[in-house]
Formats: sequence, structure tokens, C-alpha cells
Amino acid sequence: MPPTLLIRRWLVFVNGKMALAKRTQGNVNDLLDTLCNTVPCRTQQIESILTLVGEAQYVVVNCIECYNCRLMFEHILNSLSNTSPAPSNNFASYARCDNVNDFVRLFHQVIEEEKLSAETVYLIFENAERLRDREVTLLPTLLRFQELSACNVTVILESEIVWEKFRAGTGSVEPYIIFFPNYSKAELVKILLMECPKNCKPGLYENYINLLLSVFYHVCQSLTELRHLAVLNFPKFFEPVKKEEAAEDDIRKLWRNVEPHLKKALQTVYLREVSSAQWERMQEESIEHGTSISVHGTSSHLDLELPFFSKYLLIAAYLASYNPAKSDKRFFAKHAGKINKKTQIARQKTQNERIIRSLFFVGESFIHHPDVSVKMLVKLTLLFEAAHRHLKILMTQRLEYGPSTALPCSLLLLQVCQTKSVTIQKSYP
Amino acid sequence: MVSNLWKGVFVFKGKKRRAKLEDYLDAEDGLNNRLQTCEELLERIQEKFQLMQSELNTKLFEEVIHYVTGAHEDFSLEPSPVANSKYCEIPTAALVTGVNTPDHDGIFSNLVSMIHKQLISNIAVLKSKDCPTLKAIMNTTISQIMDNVDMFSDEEDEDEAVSVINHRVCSTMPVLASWYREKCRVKQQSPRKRKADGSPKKTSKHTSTKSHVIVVFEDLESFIPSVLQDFITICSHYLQDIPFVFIFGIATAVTAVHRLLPQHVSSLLCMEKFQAPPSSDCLAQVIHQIVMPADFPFKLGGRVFHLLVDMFLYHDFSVLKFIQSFQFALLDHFYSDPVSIMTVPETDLKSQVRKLSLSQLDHLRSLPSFRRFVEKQPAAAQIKLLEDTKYTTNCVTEQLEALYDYSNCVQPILSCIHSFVHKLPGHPLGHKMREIYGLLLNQNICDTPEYKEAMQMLRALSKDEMIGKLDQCIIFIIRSTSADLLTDVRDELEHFKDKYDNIEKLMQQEETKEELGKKSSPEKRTSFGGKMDLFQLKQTLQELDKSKKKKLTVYEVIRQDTIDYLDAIFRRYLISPTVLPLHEVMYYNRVSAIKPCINGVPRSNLENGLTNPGYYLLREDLISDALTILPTLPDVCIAYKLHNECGRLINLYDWLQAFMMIVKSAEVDENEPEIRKPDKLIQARFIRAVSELQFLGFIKPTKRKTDHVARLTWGAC
Repeated sequence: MPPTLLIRRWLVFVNGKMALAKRTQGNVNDLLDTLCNTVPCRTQQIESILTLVGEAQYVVVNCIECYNCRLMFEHILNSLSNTSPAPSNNFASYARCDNVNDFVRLFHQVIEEEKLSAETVYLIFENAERLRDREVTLLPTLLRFQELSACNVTVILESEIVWEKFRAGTGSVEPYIIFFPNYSKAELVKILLMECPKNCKPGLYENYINLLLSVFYHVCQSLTELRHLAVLNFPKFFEPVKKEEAAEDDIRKLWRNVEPHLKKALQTVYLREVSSAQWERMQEESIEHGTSISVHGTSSHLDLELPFFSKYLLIAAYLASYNPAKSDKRFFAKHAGKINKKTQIARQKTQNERIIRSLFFVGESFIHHPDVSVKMLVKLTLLFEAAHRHLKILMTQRLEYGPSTALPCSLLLLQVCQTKSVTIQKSYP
Repeated sequence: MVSNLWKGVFVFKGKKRRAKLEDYLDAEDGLNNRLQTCEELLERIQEKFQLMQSELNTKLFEEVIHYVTGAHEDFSLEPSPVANSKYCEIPTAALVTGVNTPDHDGIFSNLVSMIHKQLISNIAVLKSKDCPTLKAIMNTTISQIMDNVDMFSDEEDEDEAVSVINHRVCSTMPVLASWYREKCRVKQQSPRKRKADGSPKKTSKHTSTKSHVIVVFEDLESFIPSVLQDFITICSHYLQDIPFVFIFGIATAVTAVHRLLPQHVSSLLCMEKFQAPPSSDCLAQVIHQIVMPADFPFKLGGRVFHLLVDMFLYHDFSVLKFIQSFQFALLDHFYSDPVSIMTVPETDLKSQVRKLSLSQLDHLRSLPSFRRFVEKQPAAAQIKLLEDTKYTTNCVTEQLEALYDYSNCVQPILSCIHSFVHKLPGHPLGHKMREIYGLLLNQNICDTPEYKEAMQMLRALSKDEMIGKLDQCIIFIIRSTSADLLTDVRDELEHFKDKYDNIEKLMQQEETKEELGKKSSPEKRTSFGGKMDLFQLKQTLQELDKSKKKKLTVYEVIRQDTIDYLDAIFRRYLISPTVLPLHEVMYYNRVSAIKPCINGVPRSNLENGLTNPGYYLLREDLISDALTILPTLPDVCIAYKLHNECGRLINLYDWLQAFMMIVKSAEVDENEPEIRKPDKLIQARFIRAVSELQFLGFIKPTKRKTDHVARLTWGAC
């Protein structure tokens, strides 16, 4: 059996990896059955893991949570020695351990104390890609941990990215890779069916899931998201049946009833700006007022009012970033005559300066505020993403603008202009 | 050298000297009085503001708390057999607070104290500046949450113990989880015991064993995205052990969450949006309750009021800043103006007048508004006002009382005019109360063309609108503190309203009258029948036409009367305070004094300091115009003035030469035209000046040309 194992997670069922290492007393077939029931559509992967992994003592390490080596090592030692930090022991851990040397020594100690030397110990690292950002030696150390510790130990890495991206430096050992492929549509239906509510017949729920997938499968194949959507929209689907307005097998009527809701949900897929309760409320309100919910959900109507200077500064920043520098004079000078190329090239302004100039142009009242440049540029940090980016670029003056930075800016500008009638026409002759 | 130096340095602990009041204030009589009134007023303003702020947000907070209590309904510490997918989502209240960031501290501290009052919860309040790394965010969260435990047990020993623990123990989620489990266990086992320990407030409200762990992110947008993402992921892992609830303070819009968090993290949250009332509402309340009411004897004059409102609208929408500026104006009024001795609440007015000393009276006499008042008096009274103390004090009392009456009446009447004009098309008088108030502070509203326009439009009001607005006005007058001063106005308005209500009857009366008139008219018509030349016919026809046109309906007549009456009332009460005698006592209008204090202009001050250092150094020999460069100026000023003459790129060597010429011109007479090499001292002085300019942000090194620096400012010369 290989000392290391890499599981490439791809939409793994959330509890999958927990169930994987669950200790069971029954034989392998029972185990296989229970696992396949809790984690459907993964039979092949589970089989191959089971051939490699037996009943075992295991430790799951979340690499996001254990953000440094000390936390990670102490967590492993704690779990193996069954020490849990509690008020009774003053939240102390098994031992202080912040380097690999100590870890190997203490690991030995724990194995002996707990009499685990006969069993295989599995160390499972979730989100293993984070290990790459730690010390360079850490990953090779873990991969060769069996050799280093001379114990019966297997390291399992779990990650969403390919193994090739882990390779760095020397000393690493190739792990055995188990790949979890995407769920197919049929598999998704099967999994979603597991959450059928009690008051609903499985047949009806299957119809619902199929309807749901027909709408959402094109835009979203994420199981978690689909599950969220299924829970969110089910009450609307089920309402006529509940009120006994429609028969359970009258799919067409049910579909007509739920279709507008699904269409609306399609606009906010992945966003999750509203909880299901609020979503309900919004839909009720929209029915009451006889208006439809705005197309983009809650985020689109930006009821945000900006202070006068900030607003103009934002517009100026946008204008300065959107227009090429050489057109400044034509746009912003009051009496732009013939453009002399030579002077233009000679007077290349910094972005900072350009913003201020367009600012002066856009808001004429700025002329009465000579302090505007310093103060406003500082204030810019408080604004949006666009302004954020601009300022960083402006202050360092290292980067040039590309059209890509102008894009979020333009969206933002549009929103700003919607809130208050700001005329941009003024700056575009 | 060094040994000599350290031998020479000794520390003397001098006597600690407390600054006294007299050091700052001239020992003038009445000073203590002024200070006392000022402090009282400040305190009242502060109290009122806090009360107002918490009231304003109560509804929102209650919604948030309701949401928080509703979250994690089926949470239990026992591991449930079926892993519920709901547990993967952290309930999150997205509190959209608006862009007025300086006010947010107040909002959140109110929220937290309200949560503490209503729930037994463990709260951690995170600010982005405390959480630059994952470690820091975990530390702050866990230490804050676990510190709360002290409320439930003996204070002192526990306190120390916890702080010691936090130093030693890594703050990790397992620690928090076990602490939470322990806490719940203790609570379940011995609720009696806890009562004995003595925290009656908590136990009485305690209904269930469940208590949430609330994490408040005050300024979500400023958090470092990666840290926030990791923190949320970790929390969601422990959701089965600890019932987390997040409160996001978002200044802009909910979209900010998506900017910060990628989908796989934001799908761990179950958000609900709460919108805080816009800060302009809060400002309106402040103006209504603190700036305008008559029970504060201190008022803002027109220009200062405009300055404060402009600061609010132009810069950051911060109500806190507004109120601070208001308090600053108050301080300045009492500190710098000797007539502020009379700025007292109305009830103390008479006793205060009796205490007036001669010099204080002279101050009052020399007020421009009072002088204007004196000039209008008959000659005998004029002499008396200038010489007779008693007569003058009486007069001052009278005038001040009139001023109080005026300010008492102004607010309800302003509310009336506001209710009439705020929805007019084109908003001739503005649609916010503050705009009308600002107008009033500067001039008599009734003389403005906008007022005439508004009145013209009011003459076309429909009946329903008119009745609604009259109702509002009557309510305003009844509610105001000066209801007894305005009883006649109220009676009159009610009279008009009755007329509108009984308009049907009146119309019938009118109709009967008309019929009567018609009956009588045939006589006239018979005259028609008589012989008449063409001219006469034309004239009678024209007259008939006119009378037909002028014929108004009953409603129109009453409306005409109402508007005329309102016009008269407005003209009587809405006078600008600037025309009233002694208005300086109440109205603070020193805009030039307050502006640099609350709205500093760092750039122009810096420029001024560099071009004209004598102004700040208080040395007249250094004061010069912008173009001449005196050799006696500080080095950095010389360098600055020289750099103003250059273009975008500055040659360092030329600059040095010019610098040297100026510095040396003081020492050497002009007959020596020989150009020397700069000596080391001058070179050092120059380098220092240049680096100071770089520090101030005027120049920066450039690679475009060797031995050159780039200018960062433009257009100075």
C-alpha cells in the first residue's frame, strides 16, 4: 500500500471523506454498502479506496484551519492521544510542538503510549493545496512521513487541484491518485432525491428535481448550489398540491405555477444575497404590489447615495481611466483648437494629474475648493472596488490602465448615475 | 565625546503642573458663568444626540435581533444522526449602513449593547484594523467571546486566569468549541447556582439554554479578503459545535460581499439584508431636535449653518461630524464672544440680566444690531439707552424676551410652510426643512422671488391637499412648545378647516343666493330690451363677460382667503434673525473663525507655509511676496521656491547652483562674480532641503533622466 494518497476532490459529497475513514466493525461488504448509501454515485472510487485502506485510526487535519505548523502538529498529536483542550485542563494541548523534529519524536511517543503501533494510522489533510504555501520542506516531509517516522502511517491528501501543481523542489514521493469525476445529470438527480421532504411523494419530487435541472443545469452544475435552489423553490412548487388546487400528477399545471419563480431565481443563482425567508417575503411583496422583482435581485437597485465630492471624484476617475490620455485635451479643454502632437507627447501627465483635471472639468464648483486634491485622493480609498484599484495604481503610478480595469468602473459609474442625475454628457462633446 | 555626553544627561522629574482654567481664559468677570452654561449645553446636546441616535435605529436593531434569535432554531449540542445540510450555512445579517463611516462606531456600539440587553449571547466585534492576519482574527474573536464568560462567575480571579490562558493557549476553534460545550453544560446543570453567583439581569431574561455566538464585522469592505475567506470557512466547519451568527457591517452595497468572497465561500453564508436609515434622515432629526428648537439658547447663524450642511453633503454624510462641529461652534461662541454671557435658557434670563456688569453691558451696547436698534429710537430714548444703565437693562431684557418668543414661534411656523411647499413642482423653496431654515437664517424668506413663486403655486391647490396640509399645520402648532403663543393662528386655521368641511353647505347657500340674484336680474335684463346704440351694447356685453370671468366658486374664495391669511402669518413670523436686535447673543455666525478649525485645508496651508514662512514663524522680516526669494528664508523654503520655477523635470545640479547663489548672496557682495564650487556645508543643506521636499510629496526621484527629479505638483507658478 502506498504511504501517500491523493484524492482529487471534484464535487465530492460533503460527508464523503468523513465516512471514508469511519471505523466499522462489520465486514468490507457491509462497509461498502453503508458508504455507497451515504455517498451515492461514488461506488467506484469508494471501492478503490477500500482496497487500499483498512479499518484504521485516523486524524483529519483541515489545512485552512491549521494555518501554521504548530497548530497542525499539535492537532494531530491531540487527536491521537485523545487530549482535547477543555477548561478542566486549562485548554492545554498534548505537548508543545512547532517543528518537524519534535513532531516525529512526539509522534513516536504517542503511538507507543496509545499502543497503536500495530494499526495503520491515517493522516488526512483536507484542502491540501494550502500546504504548498507553507515551508518548502513540509510537503516532502509529509509525503515521506512513513520513512521518517518509521511508523505504520499513511498520509492522505485531499485537494481540488491536480497533483502536477504540487510538485516543487525535490524529495517528494509520487502519491497514488484517486480521481473523483464530475457528477452526471442522472447522478445529480439521484443525490438530490435523497433530500425528498417527508410530506412529498418521491415520484412528485423526482418530477420537481427534473424540472429544476432543466432550468438550472445549463448555468450551474454545483451540487451545493442546486441543493440550495431545490430547497428554496420547493414550497412554491408544492403549494398547489398542498392547497389541493392541482393533482399531484398534473405536471403541466405545477410547472406553469413554478416557472416564473424559477426564472427569477435563475437571475440570482450563485449570489445568495437573500435567505429563503426573505426571498419568500420579496415574492409576496411583488405579488401585492403587482410588480415583478427587479431582474437582478436585491443587489441591482443600488440605493446608495454618495457625498458630492466622492461622486464627482469617482466619475473623474472613470473618465480618466476610460479615455486615452491623448484625448484629454480635446475633451476637457474649453477651447480645444488644433492638437499639436509634439506638445502632447511632451506633456504626458500622470494618471493622478489627469483625474484631478477631469475632476475640475466635471464639477466646476471644485475650483472653489483648492484642498480637493489631497483630501479627495485620500478619501478615494473609502469608495468602491474601482476607486480602490484606481487609487492603488495612481499612488504607485507603476501600472498602466487597461480596458479591463475600466469595465467594473463603468458598471459602477452607471449605478452612480442612476442614483442621482449626473450628466456625463457634459464631458463628452 | 560619547562619555562626556552621557555624563551630561540627567533626568529631572519636574513638578507636575496641571493646566488651570485661568491659563487659557482671560480672568474676566462672568467667565465662570459662561463656562457653566456652555458645559450644561454641551452635555444636553450630547445626551439628546445619543438618545436620538438609538431611537432612530431601534427598529432596525430589533429586526436584526429578531433575526439573530430566530437563527439556529434546531441547534443542539448532541450530534444529530442525520447530517443536516442547513448546518453548513452560517446565518448572516448583512447590515447596510451607508457611506458615513465615522458614524458607524456609534451604530455598532448601540447594536451590541442592545443585543447584550436582550439576549445572552457571546459577541465578538471585529474591526479590520485589528485583523490583518488569520491568527489575529482568531485571537480577537476567541478572546472577546471567552472574556464574556466572566459575567457568569466571580469576576477578578477568572479575569486574570482567562487573560493568562489566552497568552499561553493557541486560540483555535477546538478551544472555543470545548469552552462553549462546557458553558452550556454548566448552565444546564446548575441554573440555581448561577443565580446565587449574582447576575440577576441575565438570569431573569434567560429562557433557553441556547446562546448564540455572534461575530460582528464592523467594516467588512476593509477586511483582507483571504483572511475573511479562511475565517468563514473555518467557522462553517465548526457550525455543528458552535452556533455562529455573523453580522456584516457593509458601507456600500451587498455586492461587496461577492467582491470579497468567491462563490465557494459565499455559499457558506445564508444572508439576509437589513438597510439602515440613510444618514440624511438622521441629519434632519438633528436639525429638528437640536439645531432648531428654542430650548437650546444657542443657535447657528446662516453662514455657519450652511458651512456645516455643506460639509455634510460634500464630504462624508457623517452626522457625528456635524454634531461635533456644532459643539465646536458652541464652544467658540462661549469662549470668544463676551456677549455670550446672555446666552442662557429663557428661564434664567431675568436673573442673568440683573447680574450684568457695566463692561458687559457696554459689550451689548456695542453690538451692531443693537446700535441699529438705538438709531431707530426717538432722540430722548437714544440718550437714555447710551447712558442710563437701568433703562438699558430693561430694554435688553425686553429685546431678548422678544428674541426668545421669536425663536419659539419660528419652528412650528417653519414646519407649516414646509408642509405646504415641500411637494411643489420644482421645489422653489427646497424640499427639505433644512433648506428653508437655511434661507430663513440669511434673509427674510417672504421677500424672495422663490417665495412669491411658491405662493402663486399654492393658490392652485386642490381641496383634499389643502385640508391635509391644514391638518398637518394644526398638529405642528399643537405639538410645539410655544402652542400658547400661537393660539390665535391655530384658531384661525381651524376656522378655515371648518369652512372646508362645510363647503357643501356653503355652496348650497351660494346657489340659493344666485337663484335669488337671478330672480332679481330680470329687471336688469329688461334694460337690455330697451333701445340702445351699438356702443352701449358693446359695453354691457363686455361687463357681463367680465363678471362671468370673475365669478369664483366657493372653494376658490375660501382658498384665496386661506392663502392670504397664511401669507400674512408667514410675513409676521418668518423674519430673518439678522434683522432682530441683539441677535448676536443667540446666533453664532463667525464662519471665518470656525472654518479653518473644522474644515482644514492642508495643501494650501502647506504651500502658504513654504512660500511665506514668516506667517507661521511670526517673523516680519521673513514676510515677502511669492516671487522674491530672500536668503534668510529657511532652506526648504528656498528650495521650494526655486523648484516652483522649474518644469516637470528638475536638474539637480542647476537647482543646487541656484540654491547656492541665493544662500551666498547674503554673505558675499555682488562684486565677486566668480562661480565657486559649492562647499560641503551648502551641499548638505541643499540635500536636506531636497529630501524634505520629497518627504512632503513635492518631488520624486525619476529614472527618465540622470541627475533629475520629477515634480509631482503643477500649476503653482
